[in-house]
Amino acid sequence: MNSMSSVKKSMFTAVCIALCVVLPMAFHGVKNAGSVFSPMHLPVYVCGLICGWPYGLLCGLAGPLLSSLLTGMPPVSYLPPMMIELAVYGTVSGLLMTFLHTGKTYADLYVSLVAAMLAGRLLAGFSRALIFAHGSYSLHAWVVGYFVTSLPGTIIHLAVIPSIVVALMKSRLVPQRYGA
Amino acid sequence: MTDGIFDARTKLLCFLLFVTAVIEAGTFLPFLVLVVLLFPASRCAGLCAHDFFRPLASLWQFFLLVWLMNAFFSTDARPLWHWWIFNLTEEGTIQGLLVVLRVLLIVEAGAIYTASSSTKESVGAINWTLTPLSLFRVPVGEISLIIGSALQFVPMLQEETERIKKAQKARGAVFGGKNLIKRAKSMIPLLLPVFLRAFSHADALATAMEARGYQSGGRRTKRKRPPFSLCDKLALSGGMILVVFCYLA
Repeated sequence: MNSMSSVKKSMFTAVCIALCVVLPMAFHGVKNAGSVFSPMHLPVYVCGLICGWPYGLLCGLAGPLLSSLLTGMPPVSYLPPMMIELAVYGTVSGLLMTFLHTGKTYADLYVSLVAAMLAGRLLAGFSRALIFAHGSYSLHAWVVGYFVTSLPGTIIHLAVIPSIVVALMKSRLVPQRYGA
Repeated sequence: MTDGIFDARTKLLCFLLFVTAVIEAGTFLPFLVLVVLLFPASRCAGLCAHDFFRPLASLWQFFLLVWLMNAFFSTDARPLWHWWIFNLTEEGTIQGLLVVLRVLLIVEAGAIYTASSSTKESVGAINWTLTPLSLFRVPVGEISLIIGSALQFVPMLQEETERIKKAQKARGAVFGGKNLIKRAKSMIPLLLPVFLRAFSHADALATAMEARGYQSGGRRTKRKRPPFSLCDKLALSGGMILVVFCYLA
Protein backbone atom coordinates (compact mmCIF):
# COMPACT_ATOMS: atom_id res chain seq x y z
CA MET A 1 0.00 0.00 0.00
CA ASN A 2 2.85 2.37 0.84
CA SER A 3 4.39 2.07 -2.61
CA MET A 4 1.67 4.21 -4.17
CA SER A 5 2.83 7.70 -5.15
CA SER A 6 1.06 10.70 -3.66
CA VAL A 7 -0.11 11.75 -7.15
CA LYS A 8 -1.81 8.39 -7.55
CA LYS A 9 -3.35 8.66 -4.10
CA SER A 10 -4.60 12.16 -4.95
CA MET A 11 -6.24 10.96 -8.17
CA PHE A 12 -7.82 7.94 -6.42
CA THR A 13 -9.19 10.32 -3.78
CA ALA A 14 -10.55 12.60 -6.53
CA VAL A 15 -12.30 9.66 -8.17
CA CYS A 16 -13.76 8.56 -4.81
CA ILE A 17 -15.08 12.09 -4.18
CA ALA A 18 -16.64 12.04 -7.66
CA LEU A 19 -18.22 8.65 -6.86
CA CYS A 20 -19.75 10.22 -3.73
CA VAL A 21 -21.71 12.42 -6.16
CA VAL A 22 -22.38 9.86 -8.90
CA LEU A 23 -23.34 6.71 -6.93
CA PRO A 24 -26.31 8.22 -5.00
CA MET A 25 -27.63 9.55 -8.33
CA ALA A 26 -27.31 6.09 -9.92
CA PHE A 27 -29.09 4.50 -6.96
CA HIS A 28 -31.97 6.98 -7.09
CA GLY A 29 -33.56 4.98 -9.89
CA VAL A 30 -34.23 2.14 -7.45
CA LYS A 31 -36.87 2.88 -4.80
CA ASN A 32 -35.39 3.46 -1.30
CA ALA A 33 -31.99 2.10 -2.40
CA GLY A 34 -30.34 5.36 -1.32
CA SER A 35 -31.45 5.12 2.30
CA VAL A 36 -31.00 1.33 2.50
CA PHE A 37 -27.62 1.08 0.83
CA SER A 38 -26.02 4.44 1.85
CA PRO A 39 -24.09 4.55 -1.46
CA MET A 40 -22.11 7.64 -0.45
CA HIS A 41 -20.38 5.69 2.36
CA LEU A 42 -18.82 3.18 -0.06
CA PRO A 43 -16.24 5.42 -1.81
CA VAL A 44 -15.24 6.99 1.53
CA TYR A 45 -14.42 3.59 3.08
CA VAL A 46 -12.62 2.48 -0.08
CA CYS A 47 -10.61 5.73 -0.16
CA GLY A 48 -9.60 5.40 3.50
CA LEU A 49 -8.64 1.74 3.11
CA ILE A 50 -6.61 2.28 -0.06
CA CYS A 51 -5.09 5.76 0.25
CA GLY A 52 -4.71 6.22 4.02
CA TRP A 53 -6.23 8.52 6.64
CA PRO A 54 -5.49 12.03 5.30
CA TYR A 55 -7.08 11.15 1.97
CA GLY A 56 -9.97 9.32 3.66
CA LEU A 57 -10.58 12.38 5.82
CA LEU A 58 -10.63 14.68 2.79
CA CYS A 59 -12.95 12.32 0.91
CA GLY A 60 -15.32 12.14 3.90
CA LEU A 61 -15.48 15.92 4.14
CA ALA A 62 -15.50 16.89 0.47
CA GLY A 63 -17.72 14.04 -0.86
CA PRO A 64 -21.00 14.98 0.86
CA LEU A 65 -20.24 18.71 0.54
CA LEU A 66 -19.75 18.49 -3.22
CA SER A 67 -22.75 16.21 -3.63
CA SER A 68 -24.92 18.64 -1.67
CA LEU A 69 -23.74 21.58 -3.78
CA LEU A 70 -24.13 19.80 -7.12
CA THR A 71 -27.26 17.71 -6.58
CA GLY A 72 -28.92 19.07 -3.43
CA MET A 73 -28.48 15.68 -1.73
CA PRO A 74 -27.92 15.36 1.20
CA PRO A 75 -30.00 18.43 2.13
CA VAL A 76 -28.02 21.17 3.90
CA SER A 77 -29.65 20.42 7.27
CA TYR A 78 -28.23 16.86 7.23
CA LEU A 79 -24.86 17.88 5.83
CA PRO A 80 -22.75 18.74 8.96
CA PRO A 81 -23.43 15.51 10.93
CA MET A 82 -23.03 13.50 7.75
CA MET A 83 -19.69 15.15 7.00
CA ILE A 84 -18.48 14.32 10.53
CA GLU A 85 -19.67 10.71 10.20
CA LEU A 86 -18.03 10.15 6.81
CA ALA A 87 -14.82 11.95 7.83
CA VAL A 88 -14.48 9.56 10.79
CA TYR A 89 -15.15 6.54 8.53
CA GLY A 90 -12.38 7.63 6.14
CA THR A 91 -9.92 8.57 8.89
CA VAL A 92 -10.33 5.51 11.13
CA SER A 93 -10.34 3.00 8.26
CA GLY A 94 -7.17 4.62 6.87
CA LEU A 95 -5.40 4.77 10.24
CA LEU A 96 -6.15 1.13 11.04
CA MET A 97 -5.06 -0.06 7.61
CA THR A 98 -1.75 1.74 8.15
CA PHE A 99 -1.03 0.34 11.60
CA LEU A 100 -2.72 -3.07 11.46
CA HIS A 101 -0.81 -5.97 9.92
CA THR A 102 -2.34 -9.35 10.70
CA GLY A 103 -0.74 -11.03 7.69
CA LYS A 104 -4.10 -11.53 5.97
CA THR A 105 -5.60 -8.86 3.69
CA TYR A 106 -9.23 -9.75 4.44
CA ALA A 107 -8.63 -9.71 8.22
CA ASP A 108 -7.04 -6.24 8.01
CA LEU A 109 -9.87 -4.99 5.84
CA TYR A 110 -12.65 -6.33 8.07
CA VAL A 111 -11.12 -5.13 11.35
CA SER A 112 -10.52 -1.65 9.90
CA LEU A 113 -13.99 -1.50 8.38
CA VAL A 114 -15.90 -2.59 11.49
CA ALA A 115 -13.89 -0.27 13.76
CA ALA A 116 -14.48 2.64 11.37
CA MET A 117 -18.20 1.88 11.24
CA LEU A 118 -18.46 1.88 15.03
CA ALA A 119 -16.30 5.00 15.51
CA GLY A 120 -18.21 6.93 12.82
CA ARG A 121 -21.60 6.04 14.27
CA LEU A 122 -20.45 6.92 17.81
CA LEU A 123 -19.05 10.31 16.84
CA ALA A 124 -22.01 11.14 14.60
CA GLY A 125 -24.33 10.30 17.53
CA PHE A 126 -22.30 12.49 19.89
CA SER A 127 -22.25 15.36 17.41
CA ARG A 128 -26.02 15.18 16.99
CA ALA A 129 -26.66 14.91 20.72
CA LEU A 130 -24.27 17.69 21.72
CA ILE A 131 -24.34 20.12 18.77
CA PHE A 132 -26.84 19.61 15.96
CA ALA A 133 -29.91 18.34 17.82
CA HIS A 134 -29.00 19.35 21.36
CA GLY A 135 -31.64 18.28 23.85
CA SER A 136 -33.91 16.54 21.35
CA TYR A 137 -31.74 13.52 20.51
CA SER A 138 -32.06 10.30 22.49
CA LEU A 139 -30.13 7.03 22.78
CA HIS A 140 -33.15 5.26 21.29
CA ALA A 141 -33.11 7.54 18.23
CA TRP A 142 -29.37 6.91 17.79
CA VAL A 143 -29.72 3.10 17.98
CA VAL A 144 -32.67 3.09 15.59
CA GLY A 145 -31.10 5.56 13.14
CA TYR A 146 -27.58 4.14 13.02
CA PHE A 147 -28.01 0.42 13.71
CA VAL A 148 -31.57 -0.78 13.00
CA THR A 149 -32.59 1.19 9.90
CA SER A 150 -29.17 0.93 8.32
CA LEU A 151 -28.70 -2.79 9.08
CA PRO A 152 -29.28 -4.06 5.52
CA GLY A 153 -26.90 -1.39 4.23
CA THR A 154 -24.27 -2.30 6.84
CA ILE A 155 -24.41 -5.97 5.87
CA ILE A 156 -24.05 -5.10 2.21
CA HIS A 157 -21.15 -2.74 2.99
CA LEU A 158 -19.36 -5.51 4.87
CA ALA A 159 -19.84 -7.84 1.92
CA VAL A 160 -19.01 -5.41 -0.87
CA ILE A 161 -16.20 -3.11 0.35
CA PRO A 162 -13.50 -5.76 0.98
CA SER A 163 -14.40 -7.35 -2.37
CA ILE A 164 -13.95 -4.01 -4.14
CA VAL A 165 -10.54 -3.41 -2.48
CA VAL A 166 -9.33 -6.93 -3.27
CA ALA A 167 -10.61 -6.64 -6.88
CA LEU A 168 -8.64 -3.41 -7.25
CA MET A 169 -5.54 -5.18 -5.89
CA LYS A 170 -6.02 -8.15 -8.23
CA SER A 171 -6.41 -5.84 -11.21
CA ARG A 172 -3.07 -4.24 -10.19
CA LEU A 173 -4.57 -0.77 -9.94
CA VAL A 174 -3.64 -0.81 -6.24
CA PRO A 175 -0.51 -2.58 -4.87
CA GLN A 176 -1.00 -5.94 -3.14
CA ARG A 177 -0.83 -5.71 0.66
CA TYR A 178 1.06 -8.98 1.34
CA GLY A 179 2.91 -10.06 -1.78
CA ALA A 180 1.27 -12.52 -4.19
CA MET B 1 -21.44 33.41 -17.64
CA THR B 2 -18.11 31.86 -16.92
CA ASP B 3 -16.24 34.92 -18.20
CA GLY B 4 -18.59 37.40 -16.59
CA ILE B 5 -17.98 40.71 -14.88
CA PHE B 6 -17.15 39.13 -11.54
CA ASP B 7 -13.93 37.39 -10.53
CA ALA B 8 -14.24 33.71 -9.52
CA ARG B 9 -13.04 34.60 -6.00
CA THR B 10 -15.83 37.19 -5.71
CA LYS B 11 -18.43 34.63 -6.77
CA LEU B 12 -17.21 32.12 -4.20
CA LEU B 13 -17.02 34.69 -1.40
CA CYS B 14 -20.47 36.07 -2.33
CA PHE B 15 -21.86 32.53 -2.22
CA LEU B 16 -20.36 32.00 1.26
CA LEU B 17 -21.69 35.41 2.42
CA PHE B 18 -25.14 34.52 1.07
CA VAL B 19 -25.11 31.20 2.98
CA THR B 20 -24.07 33.09 6.15
CA ALA B 21 -26.92 35.58 5.60
CA VAL B 22 -29.42 32.70 5.16
CA ILE B 23 -28.21 31.12 8.42
CA GLU B 24 -28.44 34.49 10.25
CA ALA B 25 -31.95 35.31 8.93
CA GLY B 26 -34.68 34.65 11.46
CA THR B 27 -37.74 36.63 10.31
CA PHE B 28 -39.67 36.93 7.06
CA LEU B 29 -38.26 40.32 5.93
CA PRO B 30 -34.64 39.15 5.47
CA PHE B 31 -35.91 35.96 3.82
CA LEU B 32 -37.97 38.07 1.41
CA VAL B 33 -34.89 40.15 0.53
CA LEU B 34 -32.83 36.95 -0.01
CA VAL B 35 -35.50 35.39 -2.24
CA VAL B 36 -35.81 38.59 -4.29
CA LEU B 37 -32.00 38.71 -4.72
CA LEU B 38 -31.96 35.17 -6.15
CA PHE B 39 -33.85 36.14 -9.32
CA PRO B 40 -31.39 38.73 -10.73
CA ALA B 41 -28.50 36.51 -9.62
CA SER B 42 -29.88 33.50 -11.51
CA ARG B 43 -30.44 35.71 -14.58
CA CYS B 44 -26.83 36.93 -14.42
CA ALA B 45 -25.65 33.31 -14.09
CA GLY B 46 -27.64 32.36 -17.19
CA LEU B 47 -29.71 29.81 -15.25
CA CYS B 48 -32.90 28.97 -17.18
CA ALA B 49 -36.26 28.65 -15.39
CA HIS B 50 -36.14 24.84 -15.68
CA ASP B 51 -32.76 24.62 -13.90
CA PHE B 52 -33.80 27.25 -11.36
CA PHE B 53 -36.90 25.34 -10.24
CA ARG B 54 -35.33 21.86 -10.51
CA PRO B 55 -34.23 21.70 -6.82
CA LEU B 56 -37.78 22.59 -5.78
CA ALA B 57 -39.20 19.85 -8.01
CA SER B 58 -36.74 17.18 -6.87
CA LEU B 59 -36.88 17.97 -3.15
CA TRP B 60 -40.57 18.85 -2.70
CA GLN B 61 -41.29 15.65 -0.74
CA PHE B 62 -38.46 16.44 1.68
CA PHE B 63 -39.67 20.03 2.08
CA LEU B 64 -43.25 18.89 2.68
CA LEU B 65 -42.10 16.35 5.30
CA VAL B 66 -39.98 18.95 7.13
CA TRP B 67 -42.85 21.44 7.15
CA LEU B 68 -45.39 18.85 8.36
CA MET B 69 -43.03 17.65 11.13
CA ASN B 70 -42.57 21.21 12.38
CA ALA B 71 -46.23 22.20 11.99
CA PHE B 72 -47.83 19.14 13.61
CA PHE B 73 -45.28 17.99 16.20
CA SER B 74 -44.36 21.22 17.96
CA THR B 75 -45.13 20.81 21.67
CA ASP B 76 -43.86 24.17 22.95
CA ALA B 77 -46.78 26.30 21.79
CA ARG B 78 -50.57 26.31 22.29
CA PRO B 79 -52.19 24.16 19.60
CA LEU B 80 -54.61 25.66 17.07
CA TRP B 81 -55.93 22.15 16.38
CA HIS B 82 -55.26 18.91 18.20
CA TRP B 83 -55.98 15.28 17.36
CA TRP B 84 -54.24 12.20 18.88
CA ILE B 85 -50.49 12.95 18.70
CA PHE B 86 -50.86 15.82 16.22
CA ASN B 87 -50.62 19.43 17.44
CA LEU B 88 -51.01 22.04 14.74
CA THR B 89 -49.39 25.21 16.08
CA GLU B 90 -48.82 28.65 14.56
CA GLU B 91 -45.20 28.71 15.78
CA GLY B 92 -44.52 25.25 14.32
CA THR B 93 -46.04 26.22 10.98
CA ILE B 94 -43.88 29.36 10.74
CA GLN B 95 -40.78 27.49 11.96
CA GLY B 96 -41.34 24.77 9.32
CA LEU B 97 -41.67 27.39 6.58
CA LEU B 98 -38.45 29.09 7.68
CA VAL B 99 -36.52 25.80 7.73
CA VAL B 100 -37.78 24.90 4.23
CA LEU B 101 -36.96 28.40 2.94
CA ARG B 102 -33.47 28.23 4.45
CA VAL B 103 -32.63 24.89 2.77
CA LEU B 104 -34.17 25.98 -0.53
CA LEU B 105 -32.24 29.27 -0.58
CA ILE B 106 -28.89 27.54 0.03
CA VAL B 107 -29.60 24.90 -2.63
CA GLU B 108 -30.59 27.62 -5.16
CA ALA B 109 -27.49 29.68 -4.31
CA GLY B 110 -25.35 26.57 -4.89
CA ALA B 111 -27.05 26.01 -8.27
CA ILE B 112 -26.41 29.65 -9.25
CA TYR B 113 -22.76 29.44 -8.18
CA THR B 114 -22.09 26.22 -10.13
CA ALA B 115 -23.89 27.60 -13.21
CA SER B 116 -21.88 30.81 -13.18
CA SER B 117 -18.40 29.35 -12.59
CA SER B 118 -16.38 26.91 -14.65
CA THR B 119 -14.53 24.06 -12.94
CA LYS B 120 -11.18 25.75 -13.55
CA GLU B 121 -12.43 29.01 -12.05
CA SER B 122 -13.88 27.22 -9.02
CA VAL B 123 -10.62 25.34 -8.37
CA GLY B 124 -8.64 28.58 -8.58
CA ALA B 125 -11.06 30.31 -6.23
CA ILE B 126 -11.01 27.39 -3.74
CA ASN B 127 -7.21 27.40 -3.87
CA TRP B 128 -7.12 31.16 -3.15
CA THR B 129 -9.69 30.88 -0.35
CA LEU B 130 -7.79 28.04 1.32
CA THR B 131 -4.38 29.77 1.03
CA PRO B 132 -4.32 30.98 4.69
CA LEU B 133 -4.47 27.32 5.77
CA SER B 134 -1.02 26.76 4.23
CA LEU B 135 0.38 28.63 7.28
CA PHE B 136 -0.72 25.57 9.29
CA ARG B 137 1.01 23.25 6.79
CA VAL B 138 -2.26 22.16 5.18
CA PRO B 139 -1.43 21.04 1.60
CA VAL B 140 -3.76 23.57 -0.04
CA GLY B 141 -2.45 23.00 -3.58
CA GLU B 142 -3.01 19.25 -3.34
CA ILE B 143 -6.53 19.69 -1.87
CA SER B 144 -7.61 22.05 -4.65
CA LEU B 145 -6.10 19.71 -7.27
CA ILE B 146 -8.09 16.79 -5.80
CA ILE B 147 -11.35 18.78 -5.70
CA GLY B 148 -10.80 20.13 -9.21
CA SER B 149 -10.10 16.64 -10.56
CA ALA B 150 -13.17 15.29 -8.72
CA LEU B 151 -15.35 17.93 -10.41
CA GLN B 152 -13.96 16.88 -13.79
CA PHE B 153 -14.54 13.18 -13.04
CA VAL B 154 -18.24 13.66 -12.16
CA PRO B 155 -19.79 13.94 -15.69
CA MET B 156 -17.46 11.23 -17.05
CA LEU B 157 -18.32 8.77 -14.26
CA GLN B 158 -22.02 9.60 -14.60
CA GLU B 159 -21.90 8.58 -18.26
CA GLU B 160 -19.82 5.50 -17.43
CA THR B 161 -22.24 4.39 -14.69
CA GLU B 162 -25.24 4.71 -17.02
CA ARG B 163 -23.39 2.67 -19.67
CA ILE B 164 -22.49 -0.08 -17.18
CA LYS B 165 -26.06 -0.11 -15.85
CA LYS B 166 -27.45 -0.62 -19.36
CA ALA B 167 -24.83 -3.30 -20.13
CA GLN B 168 -25.68 -5.21 -16.93
CA LYS B 169 -29.41 -4.95 -17.68
CA ALA B 170 -28.72 -6.36 -21.14
CA ARG B 171 -26.96 -9.29 -19.42
CA GLY B 172 -30.10 -9.92 -17.36
CA ALA B 173 -29.38 -7.97 -14.16
CA VAL B 174 -32.51 -6.67 -12.41
CA PHE B 175 -32.11 -3.52 -10.35
CA GLY B 176 -34.88 -3.42 -7.74
CA GLY B 177 -37.19 -5.98 -6.15
CA LYS B 178 -39.63 -5.95 -3.25
CA ASN B 179 -37.36 -7.23 -0.49
CA LEU B 180 -35.00 -4.61 0.98
CA ILE B 181 -31.96 -6.92 1.03
CA LYS B 182 -32.70 -8.18 -2.49
CA ARG B 183 -33.04 -4.60 -3.68
CA ALA B 184 -29.69 -3.65 -2.17
CA LYS B 185 -27.98 -6.83 -3.40
CA SER B 186 -29.22 -6.15 -6.92
CA MET B 187 -26.92 -3.12 -7.04
CA ILE B 188 -23.74 -5.20 -6.54
CA PRO B 189 -23.32 -6.04 -10.28
CA LEU B 190 -23.20 -2.30 -10.84
CA LEU B 191 -20.73 -1.39 -8.09
CA LEU B 192 -17.69 -3.51 -8.87
CA PRO B 193 -17.40 -2.52 -12.57
CA VAL B 194 -18.04 1.14 -11.72
CA PHE B 195 -15.21 1.16 -9.14
CA LEU B 196 -12.83 -0.69 -11.47
CA ARG B 197 -13.52 1.67 -14.39
CA ALA B 198 -13.27 4.75 -12.17
CA PHE B 199 -9.95 3.67 -10.64
CA SER B 200 -8.48 2.73 -14.03
CA HIS B 201 -9.31 6.27 -15.29
CA ALA B 202 -7.66 7.77 -12.17
CA ASP B 203 -4.64 5.49 -12.62
CA ALA B 204 -4.21 6.56 -16.26
CA LEU B 205 -4.46 10.23 -15.29
CA ALA B 206 -1.95 9.85 -12.44
CA THR B 207 0.50 8.02 -14.72
CA ALA B 208 0.19 10.78 -17.34
CA MET B 209 0.78 13.46 -14.70
CA GLU B 210 3.84 11.66 -13.32
CA ALA B 211 5.19 11.14 -16.85
CA ARG B 212 5.02 14.92 -17.36
CA GLY B 213 7.00 15.44 -14.16
CA TYR B 214 4.17 16.48 -11.87
CA GLN B 215 5.07 16.21 -8.17
CA SER B 216 2.57 16.85 -5.42
CA GLY B 217 3.74 19.42 -2.93
CA GLY B 218 6.28 20.78 -5.40
CA ARG B 219 6.67 24.53 -5.97
CA ARG B 220 4.98 25.66 -9.16
CA THR B 221 4.38 28.91 -10.94
CA LYS B 222 0.91 30.35 -11.23
CA ARG B 223 -0.80 33.09 -13.16
CA LYS B 224 -0.75 36.38 -11.30
CA ARG B 225 -4.27 37.18 -10.21
CA PRO B 226 -5.59 40.63 -11.12
CA PRO B 227 -6.74 42.77 -8.17
CA PHE B 228 -10.44 42.98 -7.39
CA SER B 229 -12.29 45.34 -9.77
CA LEU B 230 -14.82 47.96 -8.69
CA CYS B 231 -17.68 45.55 -9.52
CA ASP B 232 -16.08 42.87 -7.32
CA LYS B 233 -15.63 45.30 -4.44
CA LEU B 234 -19.25 46.48 -4.77
CA ALA B 235 -20.53 42.89 -4.82
CA LEU B 236 -18.48 41.93 -1.75
CA SER B 237 -19.58 45.06 0.12
CA GLY B 238 -23.20 44.24 -0.79
CA GLY B 239 -22.71 40.70 0.51
CA MET B 240 -21.33 41.96 3.82
CA ILE B 241 -24.17 44.49 4.19
CA LEU B 242 -26.63 41.65 3.51
CA VAL B 243 -25.10 39.55 6.31
CA VAL B 244 -25.31 42.47 8.78
CA PHE B 245 -28.89 43.23 7.70
CA CYS B 246 -29.97 39.60 8.13
CA TYR B 247 -28.31 39.51 11.57
CA LEU B 248 -29.99 42.72 12.79
CA ALA B 249 -33.42 42.36 11.16
